[in-house]
Amino acid sequence: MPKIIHLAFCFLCVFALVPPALSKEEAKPVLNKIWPLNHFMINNEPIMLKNVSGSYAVSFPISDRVEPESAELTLLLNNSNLLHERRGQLVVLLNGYVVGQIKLDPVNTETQAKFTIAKEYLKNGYNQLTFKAAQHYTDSQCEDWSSPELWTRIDSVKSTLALSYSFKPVEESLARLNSLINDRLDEYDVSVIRADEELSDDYLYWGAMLAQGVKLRLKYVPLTLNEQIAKPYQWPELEGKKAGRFNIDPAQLKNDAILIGSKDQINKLIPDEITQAIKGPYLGIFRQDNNPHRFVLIVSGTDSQQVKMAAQAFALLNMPLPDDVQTVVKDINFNLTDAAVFNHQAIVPGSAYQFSQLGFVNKSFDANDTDAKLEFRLPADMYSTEEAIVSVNLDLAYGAAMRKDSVINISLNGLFNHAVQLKEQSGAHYGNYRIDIPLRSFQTGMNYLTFKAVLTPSETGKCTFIQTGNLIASIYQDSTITFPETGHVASLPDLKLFERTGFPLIKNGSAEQTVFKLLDRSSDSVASSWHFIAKLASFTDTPVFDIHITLGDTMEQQNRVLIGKPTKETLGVFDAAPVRLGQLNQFPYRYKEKQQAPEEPLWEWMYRVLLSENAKPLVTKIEPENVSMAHTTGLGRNFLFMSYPSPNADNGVVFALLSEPEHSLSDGLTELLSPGLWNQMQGNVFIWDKQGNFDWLKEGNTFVTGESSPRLAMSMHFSKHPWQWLALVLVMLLLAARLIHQLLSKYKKTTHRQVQEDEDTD
Amino acid sequence: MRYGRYYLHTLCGKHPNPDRFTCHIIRHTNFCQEQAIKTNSLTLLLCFISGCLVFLSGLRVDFTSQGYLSILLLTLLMLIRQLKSQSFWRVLFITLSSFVVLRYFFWRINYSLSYQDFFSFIGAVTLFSAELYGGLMFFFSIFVNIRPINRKSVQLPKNKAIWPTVDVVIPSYDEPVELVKITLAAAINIDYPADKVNVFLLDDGGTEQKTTSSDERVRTAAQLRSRQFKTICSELGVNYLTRARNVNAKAGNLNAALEHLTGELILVLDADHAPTVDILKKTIGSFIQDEKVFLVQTPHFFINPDPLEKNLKLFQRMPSENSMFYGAIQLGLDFWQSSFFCGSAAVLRRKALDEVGGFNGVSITEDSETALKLHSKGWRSHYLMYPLISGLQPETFASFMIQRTRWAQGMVQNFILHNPLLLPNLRIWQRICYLSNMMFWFFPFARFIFLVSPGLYLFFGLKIYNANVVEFFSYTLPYLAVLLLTNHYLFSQVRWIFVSEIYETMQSLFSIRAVLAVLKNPHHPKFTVTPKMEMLEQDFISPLAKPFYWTILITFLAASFGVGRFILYPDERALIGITLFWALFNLLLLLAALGALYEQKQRRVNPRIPVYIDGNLSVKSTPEADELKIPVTIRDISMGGGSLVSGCPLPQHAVSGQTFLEVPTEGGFRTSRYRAVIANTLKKDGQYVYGIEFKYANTEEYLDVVRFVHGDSSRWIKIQQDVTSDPGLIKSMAFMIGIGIYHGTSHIKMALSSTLKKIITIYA
Repeated sequence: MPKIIHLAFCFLCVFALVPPALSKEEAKPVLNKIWPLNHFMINNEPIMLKNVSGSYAVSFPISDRVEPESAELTLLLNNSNLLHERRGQLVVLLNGYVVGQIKLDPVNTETQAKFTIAKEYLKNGYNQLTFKAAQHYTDSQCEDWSSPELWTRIDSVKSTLALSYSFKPVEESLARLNSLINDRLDEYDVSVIRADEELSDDYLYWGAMLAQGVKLRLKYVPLTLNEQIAKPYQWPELEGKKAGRFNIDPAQLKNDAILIGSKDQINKLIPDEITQAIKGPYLGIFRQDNNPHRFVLIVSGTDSQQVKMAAQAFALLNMPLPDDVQTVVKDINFNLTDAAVFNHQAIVPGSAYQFSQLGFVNKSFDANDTDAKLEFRLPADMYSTEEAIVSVNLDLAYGAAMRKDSVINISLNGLFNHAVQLKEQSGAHYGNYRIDIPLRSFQTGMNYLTFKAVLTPSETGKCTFIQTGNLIASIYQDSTITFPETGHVASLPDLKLFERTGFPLIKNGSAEQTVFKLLDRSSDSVASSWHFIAKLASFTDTPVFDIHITLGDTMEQQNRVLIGKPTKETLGVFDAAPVRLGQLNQFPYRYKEKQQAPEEPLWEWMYRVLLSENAKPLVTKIEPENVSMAHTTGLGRNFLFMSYPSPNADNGVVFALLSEPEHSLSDGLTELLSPGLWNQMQGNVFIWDKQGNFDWLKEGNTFVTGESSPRLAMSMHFSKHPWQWLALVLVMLLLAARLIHQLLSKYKKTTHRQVQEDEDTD
Repeated sequence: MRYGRYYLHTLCGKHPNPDRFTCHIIRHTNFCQEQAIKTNSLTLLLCFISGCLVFLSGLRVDFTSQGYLSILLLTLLMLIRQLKSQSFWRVLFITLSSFVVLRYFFWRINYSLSYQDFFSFIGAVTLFSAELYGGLMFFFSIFVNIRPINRKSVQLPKNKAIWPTVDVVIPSYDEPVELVKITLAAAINIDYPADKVNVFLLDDGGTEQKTTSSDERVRTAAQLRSRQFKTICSELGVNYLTRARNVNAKAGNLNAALEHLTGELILVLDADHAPTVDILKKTIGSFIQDEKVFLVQTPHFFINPDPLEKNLKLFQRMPSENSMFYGAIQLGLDFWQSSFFCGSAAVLRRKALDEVGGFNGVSITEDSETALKLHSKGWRSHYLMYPLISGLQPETFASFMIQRTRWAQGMVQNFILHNPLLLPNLRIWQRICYLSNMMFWFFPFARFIFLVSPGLYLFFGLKIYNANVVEFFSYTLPYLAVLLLTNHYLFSQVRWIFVSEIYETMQSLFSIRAVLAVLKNPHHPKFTVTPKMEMLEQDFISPLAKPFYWTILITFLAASFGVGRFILYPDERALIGITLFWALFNLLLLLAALGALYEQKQRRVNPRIPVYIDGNLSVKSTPEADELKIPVTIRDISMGGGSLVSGCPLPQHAVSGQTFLEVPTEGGFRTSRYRAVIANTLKKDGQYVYGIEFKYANTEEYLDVVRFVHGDSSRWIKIQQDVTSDPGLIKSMAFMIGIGIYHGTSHIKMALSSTLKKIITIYA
């Protein structure tokens, strides 16, 4: 009995020590995830299905890392109570297959339906979910197809898509990095693990590159980044072999992990064969010992320079290569000496672009597919004069026999701007349909020019067969957009500008003039700085290599970013800041507003009132008049992001991303980087908490930075005071004429002294 | 300073008291230095202000401000036009218009030249080049014409002993003998001491080379002509000169004659340029006054219409084509010490000519080439705007083109071989002036581009002018308006609006090849004499009309395409409309040019000169009867005769050989009698119109008639004044449009009907 008990005890012990991964792999646990439908939609709005046959499509992704088991679609919908009871139907299609139907009931107008979708209909990658409604109000064929009572509305918030899935084991290939890092399910967590306890500037740079590499692969998916010191772990032996390869505490490896360090630093944590393989800048991807669904990425090299190159290589590997478990990088040729190198979709003022060069492909619109978008990025410090015009030369065609009110509406950044009326009865092809949009209508940073086709059949009414096959229009990718020359000027600090463009920390994909300084050595601050830098990279869609990040004294760069948790020791760096944290915290509080009546000279007033097209009154200038208050307690659970003129560098700016020491700055930053909060940023002091509550202030001085050419300065001045330009031109012309006259008279006196003229012209 | 020093030098040479003169020199030197400093300061200030203006013209403001600027400047220009006073206002006008043009070009360069596609880009660059040429010519033109100088004739000193000796040279090649005879007679009539003037006929048609030519026809004609000339010369007292070979054309002929000439000055006259009697008295004074003067040029006044004037019936209804050059541009050039030798009607200093080895004949325009060289040697020129010769213009478009092609080729040759920018010692303003004269002749390229450009857009949709309607109205339209206004302001007395365009359009299609040939080989062109005194027995279509048919057809098709595009592409209507307007304007120019190519008959060899002279017609009814003097008004005269109007009838039988036309001369103190016969009589509106023919009994009488017909410069002045009235911008524009449409369609009608007749004849 004791033997049995002993054996049983031993069995239990061994069982307990067997890597749980094995058991999990065998069990293939099924996980569930539920999203509201609007999670997959561009705009947060209900899905409206109008007319006789309305349809709407939503795409949702399924990560390559998972095996979809099934999906459950729960719909909450309302339909019109005037629908014909026997002729109303909603069909749900997935990737073209019908996965469900609902009868639209005019009596019980609110319907909740649930559809289970078998795994066979699901695929990795994007799946298209289409809702098609057939709606009628009469038995007869004689009905108005666009009658307003023909509608069904799907509540995109309460309607959900639940996905059941199981994880696939990680495929150990660097070529899979892109699909592995973006699991397309939710936010992505990754841990960066270091072997040394000591923090170094080199390590901070490596981490910044890794964070950028991860963020650029994630695109809009939120990132959670944490930084840890590796806890060595000794695996028990099982059948004479070590149960795991990596001597890292499995408890640390809850997410995908990146182990970074030089060969000497990490050799105790990795198996010998990997150590031997590190003969240069090294990248290797492996399944985690205790969880084959997660990976450990080894970024290493024989010295710090090689680690740096390996980290840069990780950030750059945006193609499915190399298709191997590991690689040694021999060389990276940046070839960045050419000044004319710009980021993807970046516009250089004074240039013309074909739509195709900005990622726009030939687009055909029909009754259902109505939208197209052109995206491009304007310089952050762009200064436009009033008359500067962006010309869009459209190559477009449209079909015949459409009603005259068919149009293609053109919106700029969500605001309607122009319409192209498609009024030719026999259709038309415009090779060069020119639309002029004032450059001032554009914004710095990303811009969206949206084309929305509103195509109406010429035949309407009852008892008419309405065919919509002719409702077609195309915009071709060889259409062009031409930008005028602009100046380069920006008013700083401006968090709104930063939010849109990353300016001035990043200019045309370079952070050369920016230094990131950590205020403390906590992993939280380190991870936050990396995450922040990763966000900057997303402005350019490319890794930023010329990052300066340090724990020590700031370098000579114009702009500084202070990240971390201020302490008494670091208080001095905030002397010029609008918020000073420390023992006695000083904050600006909104108090009153300073109103300044416009001082308009008489001539300017006359010009504006009598001559200007837009004779609007000059508005009073309002500036915040804040009160500075110092008190004992500080930020508390709030986080602070602020910007102010640098006291040390002309035209430089200091940014500070801060939290109290007892709170996680990473959490705060993750919240800040969520689109909902990030887009709210403005002023120069921004305070928020983890619940997404925020407030902002404008405090302190601003300054203008950029080109210092007299031409631009004059352009800017005369842009505000055109009458001065007019007057100056006239005065100059009169003066010039007077001088020319005098010189001519002198010339005549000397050269034609003896000449008598028939008619004295002098 | 240069002129200051010169003044000092002349003072030194004349001052009677050298000691007092030393103080005077010092004072004067100080004065000159002060003046120079002042001038330099003004120049620097002007440079600074010009820099500011260039800078301001390069700044872009919103369209509203640009619009207001344009309106403001155009309004000011319109107001200044109304002011009779010139001087400062003229300078202001030019300064304001320059700014508009400058601003247009800044806009054009910076904002309207963008790459759309390859062919559009090529078209755009070509059009812009033509515009740039136009802009450059605008600035050259306003520079030249900013302060024209209309100098009075310098009086000759009373002491005739110091009057210089003059050789009057009349080079001839193949002009009709009768035509040259008139010129020779007019030269003999010149009022100048006989011992100080010699007239020479330089007969290049009677050279040994020609009189011994192996071609019998040539040989016989040359020998006959030579004999005739020798006879005429001996009758008139003219020296006959010829040479062995026809080398270097006119320049060679003149240089060959230099060996035989001894006069201090040389008056050069073309064979068809009959001088007035006062030509030397009006011009010689300048040479006595200033010993550095090498040239006094006078205008070429023509008594017959050129083909355009004749065929469009514009002669003496508007200023003739050369009025712009002789009535305005030469005055401007004179101000800048750049008025140049035009081959005839000019007096030159022999000493200066000897300094440059005589008349330069590298190019086929030896005149301007010689003047350029002498200007570069520091010699000075004067231009006297008195018509002191009367000449003939080519009668047909073909002859006209021969003449213009020679000018174009010669000036382009000069541009290449004697570029004023490269010649040493010329002052900067002289370089600009010469460059302006030479570069003008590249106009055929620009004109051709302007003709075809609308078609590139209307036919092929090439985007050669990248501007929207707002930009067009803010920049282009004010620019065009300023060009029109400036042109009118500077030249309205000498050139009606759009006339330049018609002349240039007419020439452009043919001159392009000629200019290209020079560009390819600058030594290629050969001197060709312009045919004169051609008789046209009937109306006919010029053989040079064919290229115009094609151009009109293409332009018409382009305009039709434009109308189609206007209907089919409603979104581009504004742009199409503007281009269509341009194409229609071109069509109008081409129609007017075509009208000028419908050659009207001309049976009269001697052109009639309109006059208004009261005189008497003296007739005898019998040989014994007393002379009956019938008061008449002479309406026109020519070497052939004249037309008289009278309220009295002639006796039924007038005695032959006893009829005289009596005209008061010398202010009514003397009466001149010219023998005549009544050729025809007509009674009209109660008035009798008599056509008379002059009959010369001897050389003296012939000389008298020549003096009467060609010798009075005041008559040419009056004729000039009668046609220089400016009808105003709008009226002249409307007039030209009407003329263009009427004569162009007449030409087309004639061409169609003759083609139809030919077809009917063939099928019949």
